Amino acid sequence: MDLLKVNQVSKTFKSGHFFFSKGRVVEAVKDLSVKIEEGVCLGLVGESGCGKSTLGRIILGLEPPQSGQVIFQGKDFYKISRQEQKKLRKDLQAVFQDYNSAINPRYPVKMAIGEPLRNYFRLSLLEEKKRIQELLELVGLNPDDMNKYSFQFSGGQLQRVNIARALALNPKLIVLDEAVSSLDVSVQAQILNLLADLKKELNLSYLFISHDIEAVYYLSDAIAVMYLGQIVEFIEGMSIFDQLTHPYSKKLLSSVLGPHPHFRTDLSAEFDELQIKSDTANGCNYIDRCNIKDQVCFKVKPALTSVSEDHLVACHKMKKISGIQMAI
Amino acid sequence: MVLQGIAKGLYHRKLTIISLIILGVIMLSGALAPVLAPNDPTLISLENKFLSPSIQFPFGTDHLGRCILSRLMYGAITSLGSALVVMSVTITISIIMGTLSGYMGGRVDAFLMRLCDMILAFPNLVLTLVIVGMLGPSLINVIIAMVVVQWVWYARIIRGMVLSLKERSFVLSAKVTGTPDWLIIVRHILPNIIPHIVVLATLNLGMVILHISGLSFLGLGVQPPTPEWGAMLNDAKQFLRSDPRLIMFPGTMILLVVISFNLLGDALRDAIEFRES
Amino acid sequence: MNSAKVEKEIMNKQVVLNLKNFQAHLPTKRGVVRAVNGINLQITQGKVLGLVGESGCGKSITCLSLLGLTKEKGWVIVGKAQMQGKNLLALDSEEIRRIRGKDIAIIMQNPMAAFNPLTTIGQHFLETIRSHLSVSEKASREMATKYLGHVGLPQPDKLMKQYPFQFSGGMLQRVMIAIALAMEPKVLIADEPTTSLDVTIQRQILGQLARLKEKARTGMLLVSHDLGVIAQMADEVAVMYCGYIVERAPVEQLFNNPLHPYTRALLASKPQMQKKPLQAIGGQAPSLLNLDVGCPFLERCNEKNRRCSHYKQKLIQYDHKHWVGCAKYSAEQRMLNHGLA
Repeated sequence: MDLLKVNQVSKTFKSGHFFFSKGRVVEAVKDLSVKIEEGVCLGLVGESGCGKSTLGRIILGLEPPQSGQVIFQGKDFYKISRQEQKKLRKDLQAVFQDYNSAINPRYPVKMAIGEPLRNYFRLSLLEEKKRIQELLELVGLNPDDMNKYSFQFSGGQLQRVNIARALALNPKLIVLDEAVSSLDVSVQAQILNLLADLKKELNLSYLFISHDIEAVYYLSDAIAVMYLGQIVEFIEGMSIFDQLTHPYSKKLLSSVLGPHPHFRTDLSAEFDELQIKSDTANGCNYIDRCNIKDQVCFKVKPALTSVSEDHLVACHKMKKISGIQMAI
Repeated sequence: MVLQGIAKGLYHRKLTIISLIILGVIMLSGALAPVLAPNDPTLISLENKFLSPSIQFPFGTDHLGRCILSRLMYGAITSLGSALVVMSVTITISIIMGTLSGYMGGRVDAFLMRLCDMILAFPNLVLTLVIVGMLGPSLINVIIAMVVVQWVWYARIIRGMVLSLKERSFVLSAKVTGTPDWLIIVRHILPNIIPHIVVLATLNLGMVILHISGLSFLGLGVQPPTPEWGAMLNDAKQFLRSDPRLIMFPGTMILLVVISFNLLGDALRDAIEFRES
Repeated sequence: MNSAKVEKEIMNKQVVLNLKNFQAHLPTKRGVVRAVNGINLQITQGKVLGLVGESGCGKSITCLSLLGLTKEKGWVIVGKAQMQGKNLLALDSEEIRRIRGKDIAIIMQNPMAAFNPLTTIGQHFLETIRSHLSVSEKASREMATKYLGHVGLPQPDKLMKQYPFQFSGGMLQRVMIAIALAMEPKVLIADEPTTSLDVTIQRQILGQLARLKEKARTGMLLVSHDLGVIAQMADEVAVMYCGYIVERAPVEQLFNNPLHPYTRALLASKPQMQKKPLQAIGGQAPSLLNLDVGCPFLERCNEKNRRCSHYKQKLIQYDHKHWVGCAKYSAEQRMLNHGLA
């Protein structure tokens, strides 16, 4: 059963509007649909500014979309009453990138971890303490650390505290918004392992938002590649990961630096980076950066269509690409 | 822990201690004026006018033969007290308005901010004068007018702070974990704002005292014969040449209080910044 | 290595910056923070020296000290950083200012912080050029436009009039590199230059740094915690842990045959398109405050033995160019192994 279903959501931001000038409208998320099944980690990759964090916040109920639905456990989050929303929130938690500011520096961490508990349950002080210690142990911290303040922890430990807080209510889905991106490699590995273990142990679902494909590959069961507010490729089941065919997915993959000086990447590639396309009414979003574009790409916007089982791509040329791939 | 840190920060500055002592003595003498004051501050006796300091009149007497020391002591309550009232009311209103505006956003924000713009469009003093003029000269009306003019500044600053705090991860995390909005405001937003605002308020208290005294000086605030420092200055100005002593005493008091509050504000700010770094 | 040999190497390979016994300590109320504890590094012309380590291992403070940016902050700096016969660590602020930007430049992790939000990109660029070179306003303007074009920024004329906030992080980082290209510094210190950037942009920035190295023969100190970046760019690598260099080797050798347990653990902890559990390094680095004697990696090490607890951290020559600071490779230990074998 689908735990979360996002149905054609759109969210635009207005920026720089001033008296007479109309300002720019940025379409952070456009007509996007995606779903996450129970016990599955969906990796969401894309460059900064592609709208992946906005999507995360829409799913978390922090950013109402202009249109579309977010259906979590069969209920449309933005249509139901506040009380029902609160009930749903219990199963929907998050871990953010800046582990440092995610915990109010004015309180000891037991306040942070206890906050969700106090919002939903009436626990005695002793029960609350027990639960907090249990959670700290679950994420590999010392239960006695509950009285420490955030500045007394290292980055990796703080991120563990954040995970403990996210776990406090036994959620079903955790949105990991760049949750390991600002950690050191060695610490990143610890946290990724912890997340993988917790997922198995507690049958959690994740939405893992990251720009780091290697980390996403490690943790995810399905991958969605996002470009300018839309999903351009979706793969379910990591066994077909090497079949990523969209030119943008390929670009992302090729940007990953080789792990050994023997496999150095050719750095002489031309410059291109995320550009907000001025006219998105017609044609493919990726057209400015695409190296296999065709006449049709200028005229018709490609839809996300299935190329094989568990594999969706939004590209007119996908058949051709996969054909070439098969020939090789 | 918070208080300890602040207390430590304050202790390490001699000037702060001195200014605290000065303010303490002034407030205490104001509060205990009915007991301590050597004479009745409003008793006019023309035969005693312009007396030099003596045992009966330690600071001498003014042009109506009233005891200057007694008037200064009683005046402390009016001057300092009204300034504190203005400040606390201002801060309360501005915290409510600023937080509401910043946190709710949308129409509430737009409405409140346009209201602020309207008030800010007039020069400070002019608006105060207009309001007092409309309501009629009295201390209460001066206080009302000053609050009306001042809250806008603080509300704007607070709104800005709330806007940036609202996007901080700990507020987002609190929302995600189901914390109701009012609790987020009380627990996560206000504790991060209030210390800064208190500092700002302390720094500005001196200005408020000057303002109230200024209005009294113009004859709009405290009405004679109530003792108030600004009003005393006003009375003394005609004798600036013949008897500068009259203007010196209330002037010095205002100066002392303003400087003390500024030093205190500086120290508070240092203490908070030290703690946050 | 004896000193005569070092001198010879300096002559031969044109070492542009020679850091000798560099130490950086910060006395605080709670004790001394021993951020850097006597490291030796040589930056060679046209080569990239990669410096790897976790945050808080003393990488950044080393970079800042070389530019004389730690002076006012209470740091106690010991050692020598010789560049063109001058000791950078002993220069007064005016002398270091003259060198900074011209002979030794820095690119920082957060490019936004390196720009004054109120000056345009052009003003910033011209200011740097004209404070070091005596060229006319017009000539420097032409120079700026030229080099902004070199790093692939479109419409340089237009960009010159824009403000930092109108740029993305990647673009600002390119502006920094453009300035470096224009000044052709002898030494470039790149402190996590791509850490806050997307992978696609990272690749472009690294490409530009490689160009700078080729074109201006700049010697580079590339600081990063990302082993991918190091594998890609470096000619030689120094691994830093708790203010010590624990391993130093040419890049191929370091990746083929990592010796220090920390280096091995670092290499194993990177997710590399694999599903099997990552080999994370357990625990965390000890506090730099009042660092104990003995190997700083002791508690996290899975290859430790009894001599580690009183091992004094020093580099041992393992191979021609391969140095390692671990008790396992000390002379006694090797003799012991030999005997057993």
